[in-house]
Amino acid sequence: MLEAKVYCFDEKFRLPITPRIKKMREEIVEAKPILCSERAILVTESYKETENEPAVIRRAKALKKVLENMTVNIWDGELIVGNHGGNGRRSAPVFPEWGTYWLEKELDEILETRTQDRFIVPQKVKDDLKSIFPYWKGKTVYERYRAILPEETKKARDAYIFTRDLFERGGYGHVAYDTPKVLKVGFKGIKEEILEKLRKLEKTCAEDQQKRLFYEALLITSDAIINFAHRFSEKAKSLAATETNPTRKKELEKISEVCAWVPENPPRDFWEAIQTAWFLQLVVQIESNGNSVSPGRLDQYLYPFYSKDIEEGRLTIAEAQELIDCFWLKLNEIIKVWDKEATRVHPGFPMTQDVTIGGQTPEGYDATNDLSYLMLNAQEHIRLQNPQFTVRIHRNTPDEFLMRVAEVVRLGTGMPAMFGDEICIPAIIRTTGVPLDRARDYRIVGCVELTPRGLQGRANGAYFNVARIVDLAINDGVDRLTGEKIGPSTGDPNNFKTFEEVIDAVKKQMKYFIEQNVINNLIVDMVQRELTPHVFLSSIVEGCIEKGKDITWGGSLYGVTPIQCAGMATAADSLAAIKKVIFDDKKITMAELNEALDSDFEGEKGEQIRKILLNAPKYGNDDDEADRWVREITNIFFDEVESHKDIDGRPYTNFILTLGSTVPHGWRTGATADGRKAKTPVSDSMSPTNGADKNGPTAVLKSASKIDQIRIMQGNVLNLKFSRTALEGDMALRKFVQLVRTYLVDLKGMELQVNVVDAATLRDAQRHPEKYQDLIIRVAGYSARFIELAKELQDDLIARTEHSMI
Amino acid sequence: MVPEIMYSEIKCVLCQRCVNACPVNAIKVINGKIHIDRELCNVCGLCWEACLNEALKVAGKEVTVKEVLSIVEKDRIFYERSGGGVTLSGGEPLMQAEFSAALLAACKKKGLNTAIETSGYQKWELFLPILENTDLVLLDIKMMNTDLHRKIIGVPNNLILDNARKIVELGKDIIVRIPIIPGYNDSIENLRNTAEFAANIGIKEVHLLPYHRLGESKYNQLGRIYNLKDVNVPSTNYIESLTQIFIKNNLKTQVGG
Repeated sequence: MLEAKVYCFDEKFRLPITPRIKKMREEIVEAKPILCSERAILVTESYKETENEPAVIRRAKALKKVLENMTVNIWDGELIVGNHGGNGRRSAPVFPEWGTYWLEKELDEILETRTQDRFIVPQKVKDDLKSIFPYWKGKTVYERYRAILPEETKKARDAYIFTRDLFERGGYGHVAYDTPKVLKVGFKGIKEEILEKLRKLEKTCAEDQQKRLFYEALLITSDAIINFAHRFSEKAKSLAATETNPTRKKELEKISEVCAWVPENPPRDFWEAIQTAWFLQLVVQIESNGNSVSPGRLDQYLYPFYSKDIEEGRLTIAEAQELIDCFWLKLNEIIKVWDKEATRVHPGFPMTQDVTIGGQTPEGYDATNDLSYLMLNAQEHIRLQNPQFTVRIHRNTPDEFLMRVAEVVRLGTGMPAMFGDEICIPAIIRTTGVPLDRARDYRIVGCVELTPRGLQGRANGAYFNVARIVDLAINDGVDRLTGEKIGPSTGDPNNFKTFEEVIDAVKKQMKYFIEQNVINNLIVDMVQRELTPHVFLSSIVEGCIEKGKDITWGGSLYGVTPIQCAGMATAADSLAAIKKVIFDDKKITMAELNEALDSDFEGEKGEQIRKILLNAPKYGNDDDEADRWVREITNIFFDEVESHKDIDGRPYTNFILTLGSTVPHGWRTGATADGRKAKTPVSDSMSPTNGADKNGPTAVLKSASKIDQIRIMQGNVLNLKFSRTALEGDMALRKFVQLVRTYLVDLKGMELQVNVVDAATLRDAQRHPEKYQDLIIRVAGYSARFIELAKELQDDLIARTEHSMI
Repeated sequence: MVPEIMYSEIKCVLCQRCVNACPVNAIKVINGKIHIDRELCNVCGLCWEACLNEALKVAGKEVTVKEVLSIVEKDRIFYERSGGGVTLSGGEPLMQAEFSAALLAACKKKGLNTAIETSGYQKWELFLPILENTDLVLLDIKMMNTDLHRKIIGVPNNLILDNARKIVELGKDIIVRIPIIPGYNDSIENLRNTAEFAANIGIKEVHLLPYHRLGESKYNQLGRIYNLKDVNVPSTNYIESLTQIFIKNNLKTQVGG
C-alpha cells in the first residue's frame, strides 16, 4: 500500500489531448446508437440447447456462446480493445432474458422516433428479434415477476407511488467487483481457487451439490473470458499482418500480445493492467444489462503497475495518459436499450460506470497519486457522459489536488462529483458493519452509491415519491388525480385538530407504501434467483466463491438494498406550508386547501391560496422553521425503510436520488401544498425546489447539512448551479474550493455536484425566470442574480458565456 | 434611509391587483404601464402581498444590529475555513455611520474579520469609530481634480483624500478602488495622478473596476433615471493598458474586486 506522503502538483501532470484520442473521441460523438441482435440470437440458441440444465449452467453457457461467437472489432487507433455490440461504435445488444414484451411493442416505431434515446434499428435486426420473441413468451424475468406479484402490491406499484423501473426487467449491476484480485491472480488464479473448492466439497451433501453446479458454471465463464481475450489477440495479429503503417503495426502486435496474456494471467505492465480492467468492465455488461457497473478506484488499483513501469523506464507519463484516455473512450461505447418508461426515468443513456479517484488508503492516509491527476486530464480531454466520474475528499486532501479538481469541474460537465469521506465512511460502517479499513476503501458505484469492496447494493430498490405520501395523508389515502383510494384510511383531514395528526397520517401512509415497495422488491429478487444468476459477475465479487453462492443468492460478502427518496423538498415544503398556513396562522382551512389542490389552484381564490403557500417557509434557505420539516419527512422515510430486511436478510437503507424520475413522478402527482402545480416535476434529489432557495449557496449547504446524512448509506445528490464566469480566475476557484471543503469536511456533507451554466440555460432563464431564482452570475469582480438583470445585459452575458465556451 | 418599492416590468402581467390593493391610491395604470407615485407611497407592503408574480417587492428593511448579526453568524462555518468575514458595502455604509460603527463593533466582538467598501466621504469624527473595528478598507478614489469631482460627483474630494491619508496613518489595511468610467475619469492624467497620490501616501494596492451596467435594471425598478446609458463598457485590452500606470508606481494592481 501507499505510504503517507505530501503530494505536490507538478505541471508535468497537465497534459494535452493527443490527435489519436481527439479523432477517436469525434468518432464516438458522431456514432449514432444502433441496436444489435447478435447477443439476443446467440443467447436464444444457447437457451434452446440447455433447457434440461439448471439456471447457473444455462447462464454460464449462454455467456460462453456469446463471447465465442459475437463479432470482435478493433477500431482504428485503439490501444485498449473489446467491443460491446457487433454493429458499430455505439451498438446496443439485447437481453431477452429479462423481458421482451416492451421490445415487441416498441421495436417497429418507438425506438426510432421517440423524443429521447433514439436508436437506429436495421431491418435485419428487426427480423432477427421478431424471430426470437415467440421463444421468450412467458419465460422472462418481467413476466414471471408480474405473474406472482400479489394483487395488493400490484395495485400500489401501478399507482406509481414507487417504481423499481428497469430493475424489474433488467439485471443487477451495482456491485463493487474485485479488480485488485484479478490484477493479482488473473483468471488462472481464480480457476485454481474454484478447483480447490470443488475438491473439498462434501459430495453427499445436498447443499454442496448446489455449490458444485455453481462452481462448474464459474469455470465455464472463466474460460469464456480468457478465450474472448484470445479472439482479440488473434484479430490484432491478423490486422498487424496487413498493416502498412509501421507504428500502428507495432501497436497491433502489442495488443495481440496483451490479449494473449490477460486476463488469464496477472498483468505484467500498466497496459495489461488497464486492458484487464476493461475486459472485466465489458464482460460484466455483456452478461447482463444491469446498470451502474463500475470500475471503481482505478487510480489506486493501477498505481503499482504505473509506478513500476515509470521507475523501470518502460512507460512515459504521456503514454500512460493515452492508455487512460482510451479506457475513458471505451466506457462511452457501452450503451443499453431500455423501454420508454425506463428512458423517462433515465434519459440520455446514463450507464453510470463510476470511476472514483482520491480519498484515503485503507490505513487512512491520503491516497492522491499521479494517476489521480492523469484521470483528471482524461476527464478534461474526453468530457463525455462516461465515466460517471467521482472524487473523494477528506480533511487531508491536498489543496493543489482540489484546485485541479475545481478546474475540471469548471469545464461544465458537472463532473467530477465530490464526496466527503468524513460522513461517507461512518455512514457505511453504521449500516453494513464493515471494518474500518474496508470502509475507507469505498468507491462510488453508479451515481452516488457508497460501496465498500465486496458489497452488493441491490440498487435500485425503487424511486419512492414522498411528495405523494404527504398528499395522501391530507386526502385520506385518495389519489388526488384519479380519485381512487390507493392508500390506507388515515382520517378525514378536516377533522385534524393539530398538525401532529397530519404527521401521524404521513407516518401511516409511509409505512403502508414502504411495505408494498419491499414486497415488490422481494418478488423481483426471488425471480432473479430462479432465472438469472449472474455467474460471471459472481466470479469476481468477494464472498461468492468462498460461500459457493451466486450474488443473486446473497453470495457477496456484504449487501444492502436502498430505496430512493424522490420529491423530498416538495414533501418537506408541503408540510411546512400546512403547518404555517393552516395550523399556525390559520389563514386558510384544510378544506380550502384540498379544494385548491383538487382544482390545481383554479380561479382567483385558487391563485391567492397558491401565493400564500408559495410564501410559506421553504427548505434551502438555512431557515430552521422550514428545515425542520425536511428532517421530519426524511426521518419518517428512513425509519420505515430501515425497519425492513432484504431477500438476503441484509439491511434496507436510504438513498436520496431522483435522476429523471422527477418528471414521471410529477405526472402522477396532483397539485401539492407547497404551491406546486399538478403534473409538474417533483423536487430533485436533495436539492431545494427550483427557485425556492433565495439566500445563495451557503444557505443551501447549511440546510442540507441538517438532514441526518449519516443514515443515507447509498448516497445523496446536492446540485449547485454556478455560471461559468463565477468560477473564473484563481481567486474565485480558491473560494469555491473552500466552499467545497466547508460542506464536505466541516458540515460533514456527503455529496456535492456543480453545474456550470451555459448559454442555453441562461436563455431558458430569460424565458422562465421563476425557475432560476438561485442563478448567480458573475460579472468582473461582482456577482448578481441573473434574473434581476435587464434583458439587454442578460443578452450580453449570454453572448459572453458563449464566447467563453470551449 | 427608508425602504422603497421595486417594480419589475418584465414580471408584471398587468393584473392590477396592486392597483386595487393600494390604500393610498399611489399605483395607477398609465398607457398600459404600472406607474407608482412614490410621493404618495408609504411602503405599507399591501401591493407586494397582492402581487402573484413577484413583480413588486420591497427593497430595504429596517433592522437592528442584533438581527444583522444573527444572519451573519449563520455562515460563520464558511468564514472559518476561507478566512472571509463581513463586508459592509453599497449603498454607502458611511451614510449610516452610527449603525455601521455599532454593527462592526459587534462583529469584532464575535471575532469576525471585517471590511468596508466606501466612498470615504464622511467627517473624520464619524468615520473613526467605524475604522476602529474595521480590518480592511476598500476606498473609492474616483478622480483627483477637485473641481471636476465637484462638478460630476457633486462634492469636492479634499475630505476623501484627507481621510485616505489618515487611514494609512492609522495603520489600517487599505486598498484603493478606482471605477473606470469611460469619458468621465479614464484620462491618463487622472489615473497617473491617482497612482502617484496613492503611492505617495503609502498605499500598496489598487483595484481597477471597469464600468458595468449591472445597476441599470435596479434604477428602472426603483423608478429612477439611469444617466449613464450611453457609456460603453471598456474593453479588456484598454483596461489592461491602464494597469501599467499603477504598476509603474509600484502598486500591486488587480482588475476587478
